[in-house]
Amino acid sequence: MAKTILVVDDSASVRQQVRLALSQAGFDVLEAGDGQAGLDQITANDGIAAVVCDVNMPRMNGIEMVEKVAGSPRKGVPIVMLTTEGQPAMIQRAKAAGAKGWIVKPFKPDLLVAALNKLVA
Amino acid sequence: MSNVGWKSVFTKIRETVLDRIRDVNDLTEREVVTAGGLLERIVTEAQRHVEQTQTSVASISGNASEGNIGDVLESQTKTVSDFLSAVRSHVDKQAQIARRAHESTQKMRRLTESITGIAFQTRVLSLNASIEASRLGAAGAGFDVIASEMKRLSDVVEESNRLVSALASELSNNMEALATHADHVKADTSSFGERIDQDLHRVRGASSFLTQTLHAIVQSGEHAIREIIKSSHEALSHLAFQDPAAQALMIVDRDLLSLDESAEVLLEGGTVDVDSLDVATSHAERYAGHVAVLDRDSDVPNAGDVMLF
Repeated sequence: MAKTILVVDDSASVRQQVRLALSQAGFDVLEAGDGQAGLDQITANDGIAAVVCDVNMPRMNGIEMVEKVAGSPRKGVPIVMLTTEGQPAMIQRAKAAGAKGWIVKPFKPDLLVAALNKLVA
Repeated sequence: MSNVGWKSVFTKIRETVLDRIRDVNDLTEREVVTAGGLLERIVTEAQRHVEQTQTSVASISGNASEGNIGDVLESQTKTVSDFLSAVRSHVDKQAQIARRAHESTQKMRRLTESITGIAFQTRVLSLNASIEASRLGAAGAGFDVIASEMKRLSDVVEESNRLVSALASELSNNMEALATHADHVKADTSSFGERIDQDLHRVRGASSFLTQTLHAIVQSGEHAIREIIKSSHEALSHLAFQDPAAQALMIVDRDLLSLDESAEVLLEGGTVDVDSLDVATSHAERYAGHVAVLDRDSDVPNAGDVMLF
């Protein structure tokens, strides 16, 4: 049975590219346009195996979303940050919040798929 | 221009620039999503085609439960070959039986010849008995009756024997013809079997060639389609510039705000340390709770890098 991945990004083009890469690899893909929408989906759907999440988004940023997930019953869902940001301090903050990985945009589809396969195995 | 006027002009310029940036970002994102959607359709259609051709190849090649064309031909060849072998065997036995029947009728004919000889001797004997009865006169009357009966018996035996001989001769001829015909059938069956074997061998060869050719065509097509998919993915990856470009453009807004703040300080007679310019807060306004941590001196990961914690 295909694993379900939630993609949280305010960029429709990024969501589209991630969706295509993951669906090609056999994943089912859900989408959310900001951190709050992503948190709502994670809370409502216990079938989500992992989350790919941007950092800079309206309403709620990605790291805040990671922190809220870490404090919820869904804290076991692995979250990988996918962002243009690459500052070490920010990466450390995401890691401390509970993120399981960091990928810098533009991403390489095969590496994204490999990272998710490792996390959901 | 007063500081207040300068401030309003600069704010207006900044808002205008920001609107333009947002327009550019919206436009590029819309176009990128459209182009991405087209590429996604190409990939989806190509993959559907690959799956269909794989299904077709599986159908042509057969599967474990149904067997492929080669297996079916092999089975048919064996069926025909087995049938022809059985026919040859039966015809061979038929010929042997016909030959034995022919030999039997030959023996019958020899037997009838022997019986004919006996009938002749019987007739001679009856003639002698009749002569002897005449010579004895009234005393030989009973003897004459026996002689007449012997002659009648001899005639019946001769007539019956002639009929049996004729039937045996006819039967012998028919059995010989049947044996010859069986030999012809056997020869024709063997010839037919050889031709069927040769034809089926050619059909098997043609089938194998056809299957191999179809496989080659399908593999070539599949390779071409996989190249299309690969190229589409590569084309799609080139569209990934949009989000980083959009975010980079948004930094212009942040820098304009920094410039605005610096200009205000300078116009009020103050000084600005270029190295200490803070360019973080404007971006935070656009992105809720933006993590404004800039550490440009530190090593940062490159685009595409993946770190798992």
